[in-house]
Amino acid sequence: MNQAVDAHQSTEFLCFRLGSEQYGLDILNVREIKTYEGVTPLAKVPKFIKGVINLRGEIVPVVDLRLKFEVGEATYNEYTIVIILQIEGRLVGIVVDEVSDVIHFNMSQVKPAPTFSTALDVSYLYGLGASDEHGMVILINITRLVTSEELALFDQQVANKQE
Amino acid sequence: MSSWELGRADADVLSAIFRAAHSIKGSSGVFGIDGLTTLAHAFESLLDDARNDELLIDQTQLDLWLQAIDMLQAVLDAYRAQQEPDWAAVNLLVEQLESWHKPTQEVNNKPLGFAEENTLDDDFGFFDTDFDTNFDTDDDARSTPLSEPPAANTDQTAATDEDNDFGFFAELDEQALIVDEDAFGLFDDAETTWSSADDTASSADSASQPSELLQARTSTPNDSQVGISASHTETKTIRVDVAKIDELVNLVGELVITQSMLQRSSHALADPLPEDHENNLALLERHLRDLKQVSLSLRMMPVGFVFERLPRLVRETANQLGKRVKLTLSGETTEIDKGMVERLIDPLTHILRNSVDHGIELPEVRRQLGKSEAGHIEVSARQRGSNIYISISDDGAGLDREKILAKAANMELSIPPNAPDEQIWGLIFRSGFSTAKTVSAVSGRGVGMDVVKQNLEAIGGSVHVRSAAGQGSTFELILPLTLSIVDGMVIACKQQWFVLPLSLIVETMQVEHHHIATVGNQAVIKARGEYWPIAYLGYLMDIDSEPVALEHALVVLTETNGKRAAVVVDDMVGEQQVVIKSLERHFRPVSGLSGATIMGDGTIAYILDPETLPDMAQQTNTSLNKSMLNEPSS
Repeated sequence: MNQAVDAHQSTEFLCFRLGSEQYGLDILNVREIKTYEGVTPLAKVPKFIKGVINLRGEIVPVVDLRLKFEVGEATYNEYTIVIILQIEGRLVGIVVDEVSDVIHFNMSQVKPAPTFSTALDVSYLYGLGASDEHGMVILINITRLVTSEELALFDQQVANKQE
Repeated sequence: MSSWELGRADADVLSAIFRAAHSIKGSSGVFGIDGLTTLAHAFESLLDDARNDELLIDQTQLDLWLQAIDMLQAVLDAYRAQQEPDWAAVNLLVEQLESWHKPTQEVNNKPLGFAEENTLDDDFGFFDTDFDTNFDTDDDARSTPLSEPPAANTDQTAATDEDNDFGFFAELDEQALIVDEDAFGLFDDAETTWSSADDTASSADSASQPSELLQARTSTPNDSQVGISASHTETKTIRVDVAKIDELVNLVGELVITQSMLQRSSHALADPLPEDHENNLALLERHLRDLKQVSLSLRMMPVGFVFERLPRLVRETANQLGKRVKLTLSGETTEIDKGMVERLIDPLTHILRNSVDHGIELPEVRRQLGKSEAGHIEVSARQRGSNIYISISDDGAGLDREKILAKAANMELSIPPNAPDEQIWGLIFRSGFSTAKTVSAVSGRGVGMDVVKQNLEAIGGSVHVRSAAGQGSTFELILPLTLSIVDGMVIACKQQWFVLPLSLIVETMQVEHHHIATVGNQAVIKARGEYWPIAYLGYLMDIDSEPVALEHALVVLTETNGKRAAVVVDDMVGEQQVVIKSLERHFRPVSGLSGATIMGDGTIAYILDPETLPDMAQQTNTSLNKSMLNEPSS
């Protein structure tokens, strides 16, 4: 495992389900968990960017990773959840099928994910963790994913120009 | 001091300036900044003569004093940049100053030492007991005062820097050293009550302590060891981080929305509500409205801050051009949003320069015309409703209609010769438009007025001109009260609401058959003697799968920065003031949009950007060519 979580020997991950697979992300990035109540769509953006929501006065973008990584079916019902993340001072919501527990993983026990074995590119992953209740959990480096150029959620160049 | 141009020489201000020069001399002596000491000494001697009525304060003197101020600043800048000041220039100026000085006047010119415990105003509170302790702890920093760049315009970090600065080096700007509030805090009272520790943005907290001490000591000329005196209206202020204020304003905005949601859900429970419940809701709404008012006012500053540099600007420009101009300012206490203060300076400067250059005639010409030899320019500010009106009025020659028409013809702009004045005057805001025969350093390059208009529109404002040949011109700037609120027109496409900035809307109309034309192979709207590219809002925003039919459609004509668009909408909802929320805070810029806003019921409406919308439209329209050509065209 070569991702830098070296500050912690163990980290707490919020586990959630996309399709039939279990994923986890660092709980410290989680600001809030809400039920999906619809979004205001934005025009001319990639399909996985659903739109924006009004989070107590903040205009927060919402993305559906199921669409981006083609995992499972992107359904929106009363069980659909949006996890509001805080990453580098910005807020972003990700749509997931279900949220389960917070699981504590010891980083030394996390195994590297074989390339091409997961829907997400391994560069976004810390690796695979094993949990008694949920079996294999794919541990995502959510900061790297959300700030990636692939998702293009934050246009740094343009943002800097606007200033 | 510039206010003396207007004939209001004030003994208090003169004394204050004298003391400032004296303290510059003193402290520069302490620090060994020789360049400043000699100059300050010469300046101070003159000032002393003046305040003792031994020197006539006329135009020549004022010019000389302004030069001295500039030179003091220049020497300071040189030292800061670790360079040698221009000694030749300094010495020349010193000689000039000394030539005016009556040698019999003996000014206390011993370098001030710590032991001095003079009464009255000689020590300016430097050497009282409070300060001694400051000095003791700062021995190290004191010995190398200039090697640490005084954290002038940035957030202060090193506390030692600040203590030694005495607030002198805090926020010096290009303008007169003495006019700057922060450097001394000495001139906050006298004429105007609006100026005090100026802006809330700077976090130079410890630097403000010394300047406040100075303020306390010297605000009452003949009152010595008393603390803060109340003989001048001194506004007590506190420095606050702008981010905190913004957050506060945001939260209050949220409260307002929450309150309206509460009202809505209350009425959903029972309609009508029991009387006390209804009363409580009304009370809440009133309190919140007041709270919103107060919180918005936190970011407000008197427009006088922008005005204060204008007299000097006018004097210099007039001098350069051999003209005589009298400038009057009014409405300085009118408050505008802090963010707007910066953006106003350039447009105001340019318009004023223009007035002096092209508006006001030369003195001989004016005499011949029966006008006073000195031209008169009046700059005034007032608030009305949710806007600030700033007008710049001159009694000069007015705009030359024929010249403008000729220039327009030159630029191949088609303007009917009997077009109304308003339309003609509007031409001067076009890019590249300048009817000045020669390009001077002052104005005439033709890149000014269009930039002025753009800058104003960028902050949600607008500019209008009125002019009468031979009598003069008036430029009126209309600005929103704050940057973050815009007057908008809410429009709808199916269920989605959008907002268009009201100031950029030209007209709304219903499209009839004869409005539709084709240019190139794109359909356009023909209206008001112009062609307007079409932006099918519903289609552009992925709401409609196809553009709606043009005939009988509702269209809003927008224009900004030369870009025109006919925005096709489903419905006009109404005018509303909206709070602008940036999309880039948590996301990124989206083309066609300049932000978003949260409506009263919590839903999000996008704020359209009439400048990028036409580009967006053009890209999509090109692919619609084929179907467009099939539409009936005139």
